[in-house]
Amino acid sequence: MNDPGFAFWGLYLAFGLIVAGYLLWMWWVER
Amino acid sequence: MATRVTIFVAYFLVVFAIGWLSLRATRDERDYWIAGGKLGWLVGGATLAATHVSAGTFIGTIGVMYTAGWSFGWVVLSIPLGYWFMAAVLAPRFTRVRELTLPAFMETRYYDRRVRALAAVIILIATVVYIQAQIVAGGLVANVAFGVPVTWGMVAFTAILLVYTVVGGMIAVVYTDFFQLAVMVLGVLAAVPLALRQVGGLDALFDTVQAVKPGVFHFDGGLPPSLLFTMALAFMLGSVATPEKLTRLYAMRDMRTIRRGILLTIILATGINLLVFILSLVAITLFPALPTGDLAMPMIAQSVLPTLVGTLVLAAVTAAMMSTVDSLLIVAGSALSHDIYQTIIDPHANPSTRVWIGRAGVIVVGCVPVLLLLTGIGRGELVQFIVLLFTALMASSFFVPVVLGVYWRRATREGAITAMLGGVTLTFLWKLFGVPTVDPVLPGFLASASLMIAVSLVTPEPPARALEPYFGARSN
Repeated sequence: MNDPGFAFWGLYLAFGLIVAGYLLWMWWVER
Repeated sequence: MATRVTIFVAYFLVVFAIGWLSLRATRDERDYWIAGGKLGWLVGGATLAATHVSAGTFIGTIGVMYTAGWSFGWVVLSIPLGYWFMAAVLAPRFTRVRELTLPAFMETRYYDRRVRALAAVIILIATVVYIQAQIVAGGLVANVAFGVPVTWGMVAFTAILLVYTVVGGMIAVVYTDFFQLAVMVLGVLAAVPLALRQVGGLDALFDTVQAVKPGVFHFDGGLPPSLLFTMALAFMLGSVATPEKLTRLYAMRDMRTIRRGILLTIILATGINLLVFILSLVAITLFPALPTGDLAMPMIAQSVLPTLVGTLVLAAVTAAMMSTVDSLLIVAGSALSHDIYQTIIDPHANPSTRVWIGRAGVIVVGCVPVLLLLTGIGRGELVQFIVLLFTALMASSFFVPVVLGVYWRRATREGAITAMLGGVTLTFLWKLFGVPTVDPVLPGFLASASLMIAVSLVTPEPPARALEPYFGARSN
C-alpha cells in the first residue's frame, strides 16, 4: 500500500476504470 | 520578459475578441445568462471543465499535496463520481424545466419567491469569498510573472475579467472557457514532461521525493483520513450542487448532449488534476522548504521550466482562475439582477433593459471582492481551503433541496428554507469552532438533509403546480 509505484499508478488506474464505467453506462442508456 | 509579455498580451487579446463577438450574439436575457440554452457537448463540456478547474487546482491542489502528500490525490477521484451522479441522476429531472438560474428553479419547485431570494443571497455571499480566493491567486501569478505588486495584479485581472464578462455574458464565458481550457491543457502537457526530465524521470522522482519527504506516499503520512474522506464528500457534492455548474445543464441542448459533455468534463477536469499532481512531487523534490504550499506552482514555472513553457504554465494558471471567476460573476450577477432586482424590485423591465440590468449586476459583484481585498478583508488561508469552504457552503445549502426537489414529492418550501439556512449555519459554525479534522461539509450536509426531511414531513404538502413540471408524466 505504501509502495510509490502502487500509490502512483493505482490512482491513474482507478481514474481509468471510472471513465470506462461511465462510457459503459452511456452506451447502456443510449442503446 | 518580452516573450512573457507577448504571450499574455496575445492571450488577453483573444479573450477580448471573443467578448466582443459575443456582444453581437447576445440578444436577450436567455443568451446573456445561459448562452441561449443551445450549447453542444464540446463547448458545454469544456466550459464545465474549465469552470471546475480553478486556481485552486493549479495553486491550491499542488499546495495541499506539497504539504500533505499523495493521499490527497485520492480525494480527487470523487470529482468524476460527482459528475456521473449529475449526468445520471440529477440532470434528467432537473432540466425538465429550463430556468435561467438556480434560484429560479428554487422558486418554481418550492412555490415561493422568498426561497428564491434566500438562495440568491446565499449565492452572493459565498461567491464573493470564492472570487476573492481566485483573484488573490491571480495577483500571485502577476507578481511572479511580471514582478508587479500582488494588489496591482488583482485589480488588473478583475478589470480584464469584467470587460469580457460584462460585455458578452454567458456566451463570452463559454467560448473564452473553451479557449482557456486549451491553454490549461497545453500548459500542463508541456510542463509535466519537462519537469520530469529536470528530476531525471519518474523512478528518480520516486526515490528523491521519498528521501526528502519519507511519508509522501503513505496514507497516514499527511492529512488525517477523516479529513480526506470528508474533503472527498465536499468535492463530490460540490461538483453537483454548485450553481455555476447547474446552470451549465440549462445551457446545454439536451440530455444526450449533457451526457457527452459531462464525459468530456470528467476526463479533462480530473485529468488536469492528475497531471498537476506530478508537478507537486517535483516541487517537493526541488523546493523542499517553501514557506507555503501555494508557492510551489509559481516556483516551478519560474525556476524549473524554460521561459516559454514557464510562461505557458503561468498563462494556464491565469486561464484556470479567469475561467472560474467569469462563471461565478455570471452566477452572482444573475442572482443579483435576475433573481433579486428583476423579480422583486422591478419585474416589468423590457428585454433589452433586462440585459443591461444584468450587466450592471455583474459589474457590482465583480467590484465587491476586490474592494474587500483592498481593505484587507479575506486574505490569508491556503487557496484550496477557501475553495473547499465555498464548496462546503454550496453543497450544504443546495445539494439536498435540488436533489430531493426533483426526486421527493413531499419536499416542501419550509423544508427547503430550513435546509438551506441550517446547512449554511452549521457549515460556518463548524469551520469556526468544529473539529478541524472533519471538513465542514459533513455536518452541514447532514443538518441540511435532516432538516429537509423532518420539516417537510410536518408541513403541508406542496401544491400540484410545483410538482407537475418535475414529476408530471413526460419522458426526457
